[in-house]
Amino acid sequence: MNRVDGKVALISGGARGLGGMSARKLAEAGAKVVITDLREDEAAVTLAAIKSAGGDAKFFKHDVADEAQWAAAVKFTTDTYGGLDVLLNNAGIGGSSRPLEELSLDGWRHLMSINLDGVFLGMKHAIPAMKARAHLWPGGCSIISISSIMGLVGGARQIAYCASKGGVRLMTKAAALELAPAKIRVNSIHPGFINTPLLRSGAEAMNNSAPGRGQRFLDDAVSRHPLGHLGEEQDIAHAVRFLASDDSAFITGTEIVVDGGYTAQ
Amino acid sequence: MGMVAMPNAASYIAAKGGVRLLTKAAAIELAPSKIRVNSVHPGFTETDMVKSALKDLGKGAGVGENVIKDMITARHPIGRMGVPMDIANAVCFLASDDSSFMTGSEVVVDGGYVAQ
Repeated sequence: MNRVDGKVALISGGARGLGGMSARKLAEAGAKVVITDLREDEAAVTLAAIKSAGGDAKFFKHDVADEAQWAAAVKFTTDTYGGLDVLLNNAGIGGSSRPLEELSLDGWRHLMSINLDGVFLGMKHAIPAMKARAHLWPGGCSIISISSIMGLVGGARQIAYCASKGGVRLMTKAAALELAPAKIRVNSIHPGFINTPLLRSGAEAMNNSAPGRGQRFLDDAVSRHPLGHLGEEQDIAHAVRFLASDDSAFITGTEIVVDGGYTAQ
Repeated sequence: MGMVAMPNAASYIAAKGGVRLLTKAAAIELAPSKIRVNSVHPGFTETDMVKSALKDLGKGAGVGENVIKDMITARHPIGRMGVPMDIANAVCFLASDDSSFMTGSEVVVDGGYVAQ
């Protein structure tokens, strides 16, 4: 169950957080993994952990907003490991929590360049490589993109983030319909608040601007999850592994919501 | 049919829509007890029940069973109907601790049927 033996996975933003844990879980389950990121030091830590657990992984420095770098990242993957079977579009940034009328156009565009352009470019450049490999697996190849609860429901002062994550949700369905004949499955994962470096640094920044504000933010976030706590990185990594494996062979164009019940109310 | 509708199945559709929302109500209520509640939404899956339903549909429309089967299959972008294993794998995932942060959610196993 949930094995990915022999599959090759490319994970954007794979140095740490959701991407890093997904890389570890996929490698443990038998995949060869290419982690792409701008964060080299943290990627080295993740690579070392994978290798010491007996896994096989490489790092490629990569800005997901740059199309030429996407082409190079995919080429590095196919040159190194012979193909590409699983793409995890994980790289993403949070919004700045400013009031809508204070968000600059540059700020909006910067977030879209990573959260939307990055996902589009990943799909675009993975597809030719995947078309060559899809016949190898009962469940074909698999494109997985990290959306958010904010791709299902709204959040105040999150206009750009919500737009980008809603976009990821519908891009996923459009791609799924188009790529189904090629045996490439395309799905999105919608995490609730997850205890990651990104979340912790956001809370810390709030504490720095106003003591206690970050803690109140986290307490409020916890209270919105019926299960009574935030998620952990492996909660998302397990869903990634399921969607990457042939166990999900009939699953495409859909959303896996891993949110402790946040959107159920 | 707990997500979208088709003709001549109003009571089935209402029941399945009910399962979907009952799931969410139970999930909210039982979360403090650490009981997770989720729903699985299969597309058309090759079971005895579906095979006989397709037969009946065919009789009603005056066409062969295979004609109906092809029409239904064509609504699944992935190009086939589901098989019981597809659903069982999703059940295993939800039963395991791998899904321990999932509650009140819908796992759609439909080959892309509702994505369009």
